[in-house]
Amino acid sequence: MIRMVRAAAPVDPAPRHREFVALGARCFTRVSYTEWGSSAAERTVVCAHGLTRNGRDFDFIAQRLARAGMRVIAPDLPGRGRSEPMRDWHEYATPLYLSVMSGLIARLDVEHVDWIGTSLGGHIGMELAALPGAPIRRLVLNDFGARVAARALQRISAYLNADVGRRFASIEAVEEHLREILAPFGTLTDEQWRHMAVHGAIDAGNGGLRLNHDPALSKMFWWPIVLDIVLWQVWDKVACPTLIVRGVDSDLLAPDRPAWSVTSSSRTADTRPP
Amino acid sequence: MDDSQVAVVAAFLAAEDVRSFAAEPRAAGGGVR
Repeated sequence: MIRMVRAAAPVDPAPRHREFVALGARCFTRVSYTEWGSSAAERTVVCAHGLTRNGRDFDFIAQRLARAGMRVIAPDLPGRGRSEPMRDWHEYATPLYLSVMSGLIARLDVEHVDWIGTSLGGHIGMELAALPGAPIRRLVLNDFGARVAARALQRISAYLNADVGRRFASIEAVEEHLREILAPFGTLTDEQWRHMAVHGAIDAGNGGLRLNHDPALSKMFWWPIVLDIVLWQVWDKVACPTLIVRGVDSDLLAPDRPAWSVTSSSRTADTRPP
Repeated sequence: MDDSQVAVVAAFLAAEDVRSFAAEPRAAGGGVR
């Protein structure tokens, strides 16, 4: 039986923008997030975005979950969206993301959260959920799994490096670019693509626009990517029910995967997804 | 995520347990491991 969670209070349809200071390896950094729904809701869902994106990607699903009575938190990872860029690009790695997200969860004043992660956001969720005592009740991996295809990482590396210094004359040009590089996101509406463009670009001066992330992120992809990334040692330690969602045009997950699959909290070699 | 995937995610989060979720008609197209 599926039971929808009841709201503790009427849902405020407007997002609330908040920020806090989190600890990196060598400095503190200011992290922003968008909050939807009642802070008194029975369930809190953290939505973590992909490599170069930001928390506003989740506005549509956040509104839906908030209407179902959930509180939704969509952070901008450091160097993306409204969050501060790191002083040292070497910090853009898993330890930073786990530290920052741990700080975010602590700030929410809840016993546990549900986690929806797209691509990098899925990786962060999986790493967190694999740790003993993780306060994650359920995990949703959107276009991410325990095996990440090298060809997809090569594609991401190519556009990330090509985008360094790129300027756009208009929001229409940004949208056209995003439709190309984010095609594996699947079938989005025109409204959703425009929304991603509006929140995915900032003023670059001289009337132009640039993508809304730290260009130094590209330095993480300077070396050749030859092999798939395999994370079974992490996957096997995840102790919560997990839903994997695969986009129709995804190249991060194997093409023969089902549209979605669920793994219960009990992990064995037989429960590894294909 | 498109609308159908969002619906699956919302149902997964709201379900009392994952096996009952998988038994729902809307779950057609996926599976439980």
